[in-house]
Parts: sequence; C-alpha cells; structure tokens
Amino acid sequence: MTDLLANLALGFGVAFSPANLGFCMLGALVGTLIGVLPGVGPLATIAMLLPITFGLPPVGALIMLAGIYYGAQYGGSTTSILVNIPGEAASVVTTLDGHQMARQGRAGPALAIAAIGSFFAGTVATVLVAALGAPLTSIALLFGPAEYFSLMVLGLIFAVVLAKGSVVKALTMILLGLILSMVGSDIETGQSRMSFDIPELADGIGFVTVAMGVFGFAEIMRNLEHTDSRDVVNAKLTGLMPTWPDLKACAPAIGRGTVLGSILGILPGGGAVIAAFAAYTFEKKVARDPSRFGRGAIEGVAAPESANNAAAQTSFIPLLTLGIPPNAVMALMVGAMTIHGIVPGPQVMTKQPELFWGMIASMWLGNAMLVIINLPLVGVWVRLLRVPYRLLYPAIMIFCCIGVYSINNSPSDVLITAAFGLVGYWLSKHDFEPAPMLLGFVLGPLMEENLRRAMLIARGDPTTFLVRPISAGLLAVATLLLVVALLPMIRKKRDEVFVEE
Amino acid sequence: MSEGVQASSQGAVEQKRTVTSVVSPALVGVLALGGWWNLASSSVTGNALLACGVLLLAFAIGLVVLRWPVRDPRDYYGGLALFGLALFMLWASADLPGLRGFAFGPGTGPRIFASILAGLSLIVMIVGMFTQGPGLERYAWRGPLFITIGTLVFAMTIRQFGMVIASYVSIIAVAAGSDEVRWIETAIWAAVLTGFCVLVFPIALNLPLQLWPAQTLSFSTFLNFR
Repeated sequence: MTDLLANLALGFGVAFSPANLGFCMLGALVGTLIGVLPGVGPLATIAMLLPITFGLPPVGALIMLAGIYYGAQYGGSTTSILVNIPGEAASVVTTLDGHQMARQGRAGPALAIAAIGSFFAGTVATVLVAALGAPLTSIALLFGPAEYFSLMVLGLIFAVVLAKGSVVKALTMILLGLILSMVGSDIETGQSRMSFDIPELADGIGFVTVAMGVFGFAEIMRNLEHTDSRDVVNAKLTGLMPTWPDLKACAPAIGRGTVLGSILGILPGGGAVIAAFAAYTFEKKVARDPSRFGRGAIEGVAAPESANNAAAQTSFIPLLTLGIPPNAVMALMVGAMTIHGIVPGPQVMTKQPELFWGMIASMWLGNAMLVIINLPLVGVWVRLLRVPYRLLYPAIMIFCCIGVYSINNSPSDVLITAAFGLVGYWLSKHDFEPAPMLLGFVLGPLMEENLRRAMLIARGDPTTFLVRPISAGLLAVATLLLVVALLPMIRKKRDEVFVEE
Repeated sequence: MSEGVQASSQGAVEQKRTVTSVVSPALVGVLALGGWWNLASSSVTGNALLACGVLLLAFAIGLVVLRWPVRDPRDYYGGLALFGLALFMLWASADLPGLRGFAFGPGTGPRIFASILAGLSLIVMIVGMFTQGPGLERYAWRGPLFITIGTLVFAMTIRQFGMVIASYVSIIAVAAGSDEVRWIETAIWAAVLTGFCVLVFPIALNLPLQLWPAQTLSFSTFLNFR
C-alpha cells in the first residue's frame, strides 16, 4: 500500500512538471480537435497525431499521447452525441441515447455526463492499474516464449471476434498484417526478406505508414464519397450542467459501468467495445423502465461512456506488464514507444519507474484535463463541426504528409502511405476490417520471434504449446472463442449488436 | 411483380460481372504459373505455385462451362485478390532458407503465414460464390485519385523544392478531390495552411524541414527524389 502511494507520488511528481502538464493539455486539446471530426475515430486520430510527438523526450511524448488518446475518445463521444456519427465501434452505443438527448436540447448534460462519467471511471481505473501493475509483472516472469505466443494468439482471436462482419475475413486480415510485418530484415539472421532489393523496404514497412494510410487516408477517401450534409444539432446548447436528479440517476450507472469496463478492459483483444455494449445492456436490464432507453435516457450515456473509458485505461495493464497490445489503439502506442526506444514490457516498470508511473499519473491527468478544457469548449467543437469538409480534409492530409515525412525524412515513406491509403480504400469496399490487420502487423515480429524461440527450446516439437499448462489454457480459450464466434446463431446476434447506422 | 423486375436487373448485373469474374482468376492463375516458371527449380513453393496456377485456370474454365454463380462479388474478388497476394508472398520468399534441423529459417515464418492466408482467402472467395451478397460498391475515382496525386506530389517535391512549395502544391492537388472545390477559396486556404504548417512543424516542433528550394536544384536531382 505504501509502495503504491510512493509510486503514485513519483508518477504525479513527473506528470505535474510544467512541461509535461503542458504536453498533456496540448495533447488532450489537439486530440479532441481531430477526434471530433466525423468519421475520424481514436485510432485514426492517434495515427495522424503520432508524428508531432516525435520531437519530444520519451516521457513527454508518452504523456502527450495519453492526452491525445483521451482527447480523441472524448471527441468521438462529442461527435456521436451532436452529429450521430460514431467515430468507432465503442461509441456506437453513445449515439443511441446521446443523440436523442441532444435532439431534446439536452446535449449539454449529455456531454457533461459523458465527461464526468469518464473522469470517475478513469480515476478508479488509474488506481487499479497502479495496484495491479506490480503483481501482474511477476506473473509476466512465468511467461516463456510459448506462453507469449499463445497469449498473442488469444489477443488476435479476441480482435477477430470483436471485429464486425465475417469471422473468416477478420482472420484473413490478421494474416495479411502478419505477413506484411515480415517484409524487411529477418530478426535472427538479418537476411532481407521479400524486399526485392528496394532499400526503402529493407528496414521493413513502418507501422505509422500502414496505420496512417489505412486509417487516415482511406477514411478521407471514403468520406469524400458521400457529401451528404451532416445533421449537426442546431438547437442551442443551453444549460450545460446536468441537474441534480440527473446526477442522482447517473451515479449508480457510472459505478456499474466502471466495474464492468475495468474487468473487461484487462482482457486482451479490445475490451472497450464489448464493455460499452455490456454496460448499456446491463443498464437496460436493471432499469425500472427499460423503455426509456433509446429515447434519451441519461443512464444510457453515462454507463457506456464510463465503461468505455475504464476499459480503455485498464487495457494499459497487459501492455505495460506483458508488452502485448490488447487492441489496435494500444498497438499504436507500442509503435510510439518503440520509436522512442522503449520496449514495453515488464522491464519498463523496474528500469524506467518514472516513465511507468508518470504515464499512469498522466492517464488520470489526461482525464482531468478533459473535464476542465472540454466542457467550456463544447461550443467551439460544435462550430468546428460546421466547417465544410472541403476545407477540413486538405488540412488533415497535409498534416499527415508532413508527419509521415518527418519520421525518417524519407519521401518514400510518404509514397508507401499513399499506397496503403489505396489498399485501405479497397479493403473497405470489400468489407474487410483494417483494425485486425494493424494489430496483426504490430504483433507479427513479436509473434514470429516467440514462435521461433519456443520451437527452438522445445527442439522442434510443436506440442510444446499444448503441454505447457498456461499456454495450453490460453490456446483453449482462444479456440473456444473462435468456435463460439463461428457458430452461426451467435454470429447473427453479433451482427445485431454491430448494426451499422 | 416487382420481384420479376429485380430478378431481371440482377441477372443483368451477373451477366456484366461474369467476364471479369472469369478473367481475374485466370489472370492470377497465369501469374502463378509465371512465378513457377521464374523459380525454375523444383522446390516445394514452386510446386505449390504450379498447382495453384493450374487449379485457378481449371476454376476459370469451370466458371464458364459449369456456370458456377458469383453471388457475392465483394467477397469473391476480395478473397481472390488476397489469395493472389498470398501466392505472391510465397513466390517472394521462395529464395529464403527454410527449416534447418528444428530451427526456423528466415523463410519459415513467411511460408507458414502465407499458406494460412492462402487457405483462408480461398474460403472467403468460395463462400462469396455461394452466399448472396450486397454486390460491388461503386468506386469513386475522384477522391482517391487526387489524394494519391497530392501525396505523390508532396513526396517528389519536398526534398528539392522545400516545404513551402511542396505543401502549397499538394494541398491544391488534394483539394481537387472534392466535388465542391472552389478554386479561389482553395488558393487562399492553401496559403493559410502552408503558413500554419511552417509555424507548427519546423518552428514550433523544431523538425529539420527545409523550407525553400535547394541550391543545387536540377532536373536529375528531381528525378532521383528519394
């Protein structure tokens, strides 16, 4: 306990330095600015904004990224509530009641409760991350290559199950990501693989180019297709703060959402989406009058938003302790960390305590920033939504281009990004989800390395994955999940959950 | 009665698609055979490519002769393209050494994953033939074309002409991708954005970006942009 407090104190000491405070605030601000744009989810936002953190020291960069992440998520909720366009799967639920509230002129309370709920959930989850981080690191020591490999398989299968649409197609996307990650030098022998003697490919394909192409560029191409007018709520935003009865109605919903979200977020494979859905369904179940849901029930905003945020926070646990990104957003964070020379994993906590705890503290700080800066700025975001897209997207494009170029000062990276933009556009036309691909792309090198090591240790015996108990357990869960996802009845239900607007 | 209309219009769509849906697997098959020819040694990969090429050609013939349906072209073409990519990756990693004893070589991983990808994409393709799908979505050409052109322009000019010119030109090229583009507005907006980028990236973030054209600007340096 005292350890925990001392660690948190260390973290807050790092995070509260004026420079880091500034980075966090700037990140939250810019994150919201981009995240609020319709059709740009947190993933695309982080991909686009990643390059601006490259010039910063590692701690500052990660703190800014945390700010961007929370800003982007909150921006997504804002768009969901005001425009009824969810930026990502997790905020689909928020549109159900949030947009209805906005239509009734209660956009203010809806936005405020989303921020307050997120903040509360964030506070609880921060403590949870700090408390669970150390014990989980010791679990990480039990993990050999075989266990790591199986855990990554499990994470990828989770991502498949949660992706919308066909399970087989999500699996192909993962394989595509894995195979793309193998372009470049071999980790063990240094032999160049599938790079056709093109010097730009010898180092492998940069993950920022893939992420920005497939998410950023492709997103813009898709948005340019339908220039339908956006249904921005024009009702004046009067009465920003929720009333006392509102708060009273929401308090238990926020609590339940936080608990659900915290638990589901730890599971590898993108708990945030499932947490939001689970929290909403749960609220509907326990409500005295379930018919209010879908017509502007404030609990219907509070619970999923809290759950979403709690899950987003606790999903840092597998990343920071095991070094395994549980979802695509975390995969981007891993990429960002590696660019700064940090290998996420159990060593981070012991070797760079100020980084680890500083980041945990900055998570909480990022949340607090959101409440402080975003509530007064709601009016600004609404005005931003009214800026015509024909002016907005060239700005986003040029930021992306300069950002990609500045990573390595390499024009060919920009070319590769453009190519991946077209790939992403094609994928979306054929209903392939790019998120599993990105996760596969980031996990690819780790997976291959651990697979090779495990096989080497077992002297070429593939049953090692089934003989070692932890590995076998993880694989069993993965198989079970896959079978469940493939059962057609459940698949039908899954499709219902992910109804597209 | 409306059903009849729908059926006939759908028939027309299928008719239009069949030419492409036969030519594409045949093309992938021919490419696979070309890959086998190019490898010129009887390796496992070569044999796999040969088998897949022959199979795809046989499949294309089967499509015509046995009148197999293509009910969901989205999945059909999606699966086919990924199958082709998997074969391409197999071909590209054919020269890499594989298993040595029980140790994985550089080529083992790519081969394993490419084979699984090939299998899965075949499933997507075949399922796409027999389940009803929503039909191909129309590709817009304007947005993707100009966005790609704008990005290419940026990549090719940033080194030689500096950030100011590269940004300005590529913003205008990208802006042409929208149907609602207004040229005067765009010209002004591009200038504003360029100024903003100059303030943010080289100045505020201190990134080493060159602002103006290089002194040694010549046609040959332009071509050798990377």
